[in-house]
Amino acid sequence: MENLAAAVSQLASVEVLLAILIGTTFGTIVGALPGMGTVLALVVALPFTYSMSSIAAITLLLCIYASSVYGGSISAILINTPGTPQSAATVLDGYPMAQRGEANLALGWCTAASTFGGLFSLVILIIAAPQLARFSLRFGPAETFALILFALTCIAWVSRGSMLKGLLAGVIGLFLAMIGTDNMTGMPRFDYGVGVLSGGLALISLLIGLFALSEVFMRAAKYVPEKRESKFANVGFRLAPWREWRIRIKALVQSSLIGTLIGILPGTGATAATFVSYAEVRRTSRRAENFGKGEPDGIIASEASNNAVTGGALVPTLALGIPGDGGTAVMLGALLIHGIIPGVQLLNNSPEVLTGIFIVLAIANVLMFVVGALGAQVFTRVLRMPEPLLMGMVLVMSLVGAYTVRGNPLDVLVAVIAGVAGVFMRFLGVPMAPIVIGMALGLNFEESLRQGLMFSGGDFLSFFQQPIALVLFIITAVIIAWPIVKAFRARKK
Amino acid sequence: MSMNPVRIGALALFLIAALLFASSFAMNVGEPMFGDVSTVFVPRIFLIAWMVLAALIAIVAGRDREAGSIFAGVAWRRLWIIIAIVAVAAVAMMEIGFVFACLPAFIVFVTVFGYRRYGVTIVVGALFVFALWALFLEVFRLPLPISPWFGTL
Repeated sequence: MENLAAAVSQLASVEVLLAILIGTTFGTIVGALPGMGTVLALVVALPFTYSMSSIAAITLLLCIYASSVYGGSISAILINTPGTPQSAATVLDGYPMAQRGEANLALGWCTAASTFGGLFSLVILIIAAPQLARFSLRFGPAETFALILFALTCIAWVSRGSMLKGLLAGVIGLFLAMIGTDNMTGMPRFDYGVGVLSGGLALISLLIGLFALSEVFMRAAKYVPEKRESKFANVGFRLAPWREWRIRIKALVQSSLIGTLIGILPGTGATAATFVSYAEVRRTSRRAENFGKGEPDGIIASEASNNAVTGGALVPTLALGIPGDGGTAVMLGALLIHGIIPGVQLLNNSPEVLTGIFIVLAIANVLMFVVGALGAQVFTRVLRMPEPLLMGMVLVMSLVGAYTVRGNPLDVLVAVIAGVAGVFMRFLGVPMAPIVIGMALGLNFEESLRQGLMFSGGDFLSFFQQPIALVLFIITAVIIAWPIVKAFRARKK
Repeated sequence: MSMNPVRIGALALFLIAALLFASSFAMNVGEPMFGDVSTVFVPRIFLIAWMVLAALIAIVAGRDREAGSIFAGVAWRRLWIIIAIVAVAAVAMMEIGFVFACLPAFIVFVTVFGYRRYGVTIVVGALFVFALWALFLEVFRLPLPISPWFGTL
């Protein structure tokens, strides 16, 4: 109760209230713009948070994180193009419904399902995060090492494209974190006498380059002027009657549960959750034959699950400091910039911050509903904005963002180089998110390995004598071996 | 061994990792103490994993039928010009300030991108760049790079 009062008093300021309003609106709009996505929305907003109070900064980013996933569904429904990969399954039923002249109803289903999914996962987050953080007290270096290894493997496993490329991306991210002064000995490494490298690469500059600038470059490389269709009748917002909702409560809960559980797995993200949920709801729905033709169950399956991932992905992020997806990796970086260290320390030292995060997420999810209901017409106009102008704005914001991280001009050049490298990676089909997550976890990974080796006098086998670590190692081995076994079996058949 | 863009890219990544790995032996890393490992021990593990994975991708790329078409529809000239604009803007920002570097960069960028309504481009660019400059200077109190000519501008 004390925590609640302290959290409410922290949140009751004009700065925080503005952050909630701007964050939710901005997140929804950027999410709606095809190809922009959650990570890009967060990265572009980061420079604005540097001079804010830490609670306002986290509030802004949390609201963007929660609402951008929902925003992606608006373009999925209205122009047949998902704003974010997480909304890819929404296209399947949302767009046919819009073509029937029921865009308002489709937006109603999607907004309400998103809000429900977000709030559902928040409840799980409130219950699970403190428990998991307490459990993490049992974690020594061996367990931490095993957990990060497990997280990285999960990330690679569900990476879009091949597992090899996902793993490679994770490993590159881990290596990039190694550049600069070694925290344990103070010795410089891989800096090649370049002053700016001895302090390590700024995560935010790299994020800006990899996600924002490389997106700008790719769009420029593949830009073909086209007229987007958005001539639907009834672009607005309408909720279906209660009797329609009542028969779909099972799908709503089922999808939210799937989204939350998949979200908790480190690195899995909302895209995987959406398709698992869509397939499962379709399998169990009485209206399965209508799927793909504008069936509300399909919209619910996709939207409730992808928004439920937001709360789920925050569980390992807040409890263990292991990001659940690309978005939470950026959130993790932002938390650290503002002096908030996730994990049991957050629970013990600043429980009011954790409570504040829960309250903000609840408000963001409710506000998302209001923004969605009131802003449908506005979003349609935003979707008509010419792509070159939009990308020009992203470019300018990216340059500003890279500069304001440390006020160091070289960080801007690092971002540009990362942008070019990002284009190269995208052509190769190497996913970006594992690079960022690898970078966020690299130093922890090294520290836990070296501390473990120091405790055991250099005996790596001692890592396997810790029960929790052993279980995590076994699961990791199974995850790596599974696709190989599957491929081997398929070849045999 | 047939070469396709993915295989060439994977081999390039392999080469980068190999060079980084080789350079780690020329570093002054000191003597590890208290059972600790060398300061480049963990980075070397990552680099070995990087090389192995890049090599595997290069091998698998031979069976990938889509590997040859990854550059389909890419406007190379536009891409390189855009990269050059961004690089010049990044350097110019430090010399002539945010506004004087980013406003022309925005206009040239949007034009090269393929948008031909110049009036709209100039108005939107000017409004956006000045609004951003004012926001950072007045609200966030984070001054952006300034020109040598007009005080805070």
